[in-house]
Amino acid sequence: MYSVDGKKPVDLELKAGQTQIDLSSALEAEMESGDWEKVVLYGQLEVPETTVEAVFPQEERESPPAKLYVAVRCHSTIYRDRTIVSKSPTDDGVYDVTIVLHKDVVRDEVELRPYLVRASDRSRDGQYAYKKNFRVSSGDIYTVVVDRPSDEQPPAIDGEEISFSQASHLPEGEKLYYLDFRNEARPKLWINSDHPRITDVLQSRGSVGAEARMRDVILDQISYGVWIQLLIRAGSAIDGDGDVDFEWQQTVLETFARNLYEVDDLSEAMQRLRTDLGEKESLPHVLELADRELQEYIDHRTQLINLMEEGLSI
Amino acid sequence: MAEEQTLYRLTEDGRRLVGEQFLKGEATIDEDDLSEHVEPMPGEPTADLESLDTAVDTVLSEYSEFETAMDGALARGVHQCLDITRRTAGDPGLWHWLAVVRYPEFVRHRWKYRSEEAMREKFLGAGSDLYSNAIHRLWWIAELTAVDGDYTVTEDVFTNQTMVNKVFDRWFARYRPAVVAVCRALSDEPSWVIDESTRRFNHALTNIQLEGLSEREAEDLIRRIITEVKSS
Repeated sequence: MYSVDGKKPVDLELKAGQTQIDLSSALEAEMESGDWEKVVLYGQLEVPETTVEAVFPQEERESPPAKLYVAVRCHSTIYRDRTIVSKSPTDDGVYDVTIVLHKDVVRDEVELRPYLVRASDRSRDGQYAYKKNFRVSSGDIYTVVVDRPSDEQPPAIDGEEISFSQASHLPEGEKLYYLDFRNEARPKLWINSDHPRITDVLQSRGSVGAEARMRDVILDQISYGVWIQLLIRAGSAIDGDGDVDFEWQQTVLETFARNLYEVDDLSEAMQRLRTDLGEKESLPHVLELADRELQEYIDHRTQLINLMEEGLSI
Repeated sequence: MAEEQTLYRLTEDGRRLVGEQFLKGEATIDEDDLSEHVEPMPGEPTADLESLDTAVDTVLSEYSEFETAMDGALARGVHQCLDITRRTAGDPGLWHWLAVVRYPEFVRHRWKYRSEEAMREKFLGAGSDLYSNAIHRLWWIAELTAVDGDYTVTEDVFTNQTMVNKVFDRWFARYRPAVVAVCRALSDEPSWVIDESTRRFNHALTNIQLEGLSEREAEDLIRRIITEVKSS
């Protein structure tokens, strides 16, 4: 449920597995009749008994010294905060959650992620987290869209159309695109305008019809090639401290690394990726993981079915 | 009190007007061309641009070219004169307008032209990269370090470029309680301590969830790390 400026709460109607909460249309409608100041989201979080058993020693399970909160992050406004859901002790069970988003501090998208952390120190025995504020468990990331993406939003990387046959610094042949890393700090995607039939489709603005459906399929195809390069490049750039040099590398790793290894800890995922990319034996395995993850992320299937059903009528 | 003036933004298309000659300071942008690509900020926020003009002029006259100290001299003024919300500050077009249209002399006075790419960042960077746009970085570092109108931490940060580099280049610098705690604790420390302590603090966050830390907890953690660094 969500409520804008204290009005009657509205059901979010999330489908199973849906983690994007798009409020942009509802908030745009509010702005037409004035403005909005805050959105309140209502939900529930479950701390399973199995989690408590897995992350706390026997003697602490009766009254787990843990606090449960939701991290609230907005990339566009450099905003990081938290909403406390339960102070210590936090038993297993279901908790009501209320998240307040003030318009003044958010724009575009807001990320919500629950964390269970230790609330006190204990003696170190190697098996369980022992320090206050050590993360012991986390949940799915939910993304709240508060502003409709505008055409002006900066893309993850720069892109430009150019005739490859006329540009000496771009590859020869009938390439469709080229991801340019000459400036490692800011990769650039060049689209080959030697294929006007394709670039015309890419420039189409519609959301329905054969051309729009074809555009989405072509974009998926290009994005697969682009993402895999960005992921491997970013993974190869991780240094011994687990840091990378550029923002785009961090963004790419934050997006994919945890899912690649199915772990919650970004640093752990980055270290594993760094290790795997550094060893000849594990490289094919990383590529397989990346392929699986990107198929999930890009979801080619949806746009292909849209093309078949709406664009090609089959 | 000076009259508040409307804030504008440079549109995405307007960025194309910024060429290498402009970045080098060898050419200006035609005002008619520019006016087609400048529009009021959504919601029409205002700011005390008259006072900011004065503050910028003072810095231009009192500091030599490329002197890093002008950051500290101007940050407070930028933040106070641009009394805007983070939502407004999150629009890159605002910072592009300020850098390209309103204060290009300041950008060139503060940042030496080293390459087109680097200078383009100083005029046309923004977003969550605190290191890019010349004016955006002053506002955001002040925003993240000012405490209830007190700019002591902000001023401390800008007197030490190692602090600016090592703290605001890290991802924990997006969490205000941690930024304030780290900057306070490190303000009198030498560069090598700042360098190693911020690296260890960042590393500690592989297990500790950043947003769970209060300012006091973040300060306890960084002070413990500083002690370890100095005794190692």
